[in-house]
Amino acid sequence: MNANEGPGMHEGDGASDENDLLEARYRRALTLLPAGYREQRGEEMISTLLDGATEGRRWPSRGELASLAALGTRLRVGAPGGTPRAVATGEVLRRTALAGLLVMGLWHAAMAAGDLTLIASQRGRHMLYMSYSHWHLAFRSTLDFGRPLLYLGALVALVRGRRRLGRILGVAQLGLMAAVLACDKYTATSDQAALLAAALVVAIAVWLGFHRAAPRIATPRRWLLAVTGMTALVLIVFAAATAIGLGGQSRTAGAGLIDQIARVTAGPLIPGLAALFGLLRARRSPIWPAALLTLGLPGLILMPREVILFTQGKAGHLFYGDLFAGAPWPGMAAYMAITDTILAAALAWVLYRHRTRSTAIAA
Amino acid sequence: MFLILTALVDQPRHGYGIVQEVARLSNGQTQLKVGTLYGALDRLTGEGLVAPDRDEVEAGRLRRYYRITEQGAAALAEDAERIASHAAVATRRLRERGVRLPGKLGPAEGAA
Repeated sequence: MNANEGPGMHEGDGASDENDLLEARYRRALTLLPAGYREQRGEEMISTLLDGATEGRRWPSRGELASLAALGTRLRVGAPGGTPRAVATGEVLRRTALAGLLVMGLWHAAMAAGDLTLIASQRGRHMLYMSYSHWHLAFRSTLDFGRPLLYLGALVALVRGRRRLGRILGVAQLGLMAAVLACDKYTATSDQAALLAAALVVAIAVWLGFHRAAPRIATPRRWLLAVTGMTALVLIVFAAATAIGLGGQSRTAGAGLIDQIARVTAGPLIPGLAALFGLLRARRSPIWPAALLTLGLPGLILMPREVILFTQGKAGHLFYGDLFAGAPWPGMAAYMAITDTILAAALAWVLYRHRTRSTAIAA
Repeated sequence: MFLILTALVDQPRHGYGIVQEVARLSNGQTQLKVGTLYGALDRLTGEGLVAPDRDEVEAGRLRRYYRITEQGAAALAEDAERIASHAAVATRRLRERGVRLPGKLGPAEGAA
């Protein structure tokens, strides 16, 4: 037997019924792969699987099934051998992941900047110690400072090609987010669900988009510059706002200023910029509108609460809620609904245009 | 990738032939699963490092053979040189530290 021969299950002996059964099960396992790929590679993969099967084997092993499932997933998100549509899906997932990590990282960096300024100030420390016990403060600080580090760390790692580290951090943020929400007694349930869903979308996008055969980020310098610049801006603005507030007469003054900044950024500014960016990019390709729409969908979880408020005659809450009354993202639902509608329309338009012109999808 | 390319240096092999050869080269430490193997072959083919050689049908089964390309051989040579260079540095430093090296690395050259 030379190196290219198998261990002898293909000799047509009395075990042929068992072989047929195993082959049928392998064929069923291959349905984990996309149909086009199966058509192209299926027969040779069946040969390889049967050659490697030990005598008396009746079922595919768990390892074989896992590796086929992983290959099927990679092929559907743009690994070599996948269809152009799968390549586009992979690109959408990677941009969803990067944009999500950036937005969530900046949002939590803003809160961490406020906390840092409070800790740095004697009056701020006094206020914090009044509100929390020492151990609770230490626990909250770990979570509050850990979140931006995880999000931005994952982003930098992925952009710099440190895929494994980026994937681990990108999924770990989901656990940290769950821990924060579990011990946060002030946030409304719908906001918790929306935040958790957003963290889940980011985790899935990171995990699926940055598989081992995924291409490297084409413009890492641009991403790193954007991360550095925006983080610096956010840290300065929120630290300054907190410091100005601390210089005032009461904590309410500081909280009020941060409240106003949060209202503008979390309200119309970030979703508005996302909608504008998506519209501009839709002229070239559906990738960015699709990525931003995917990222924006968890925001719709906030809609039912807004509808209830509206039916209760509290229309003002739709665009201008109370940051410290269970709605950390005042008006976010309405802004997200508008943004998602704009992005969905842009996506539909660009896809229709590509279909009528039969052009390839550009990145 | 390195072991798959190495497995194809001496002759074209089909899928299971590659699995066997990789296991042999790695002393049984690397057991390629089919999904991993074909994912790697897709990638290597896409990069022009490996190419399909021929199709054969044996006992009613399709066997597609793969061969390493010139570009693949050059890439493997580059990788081999890089790994050998790292290994040489590690071996030299371990010897300087007086660590007894196992197997073929054997006792230090010129040792009493």
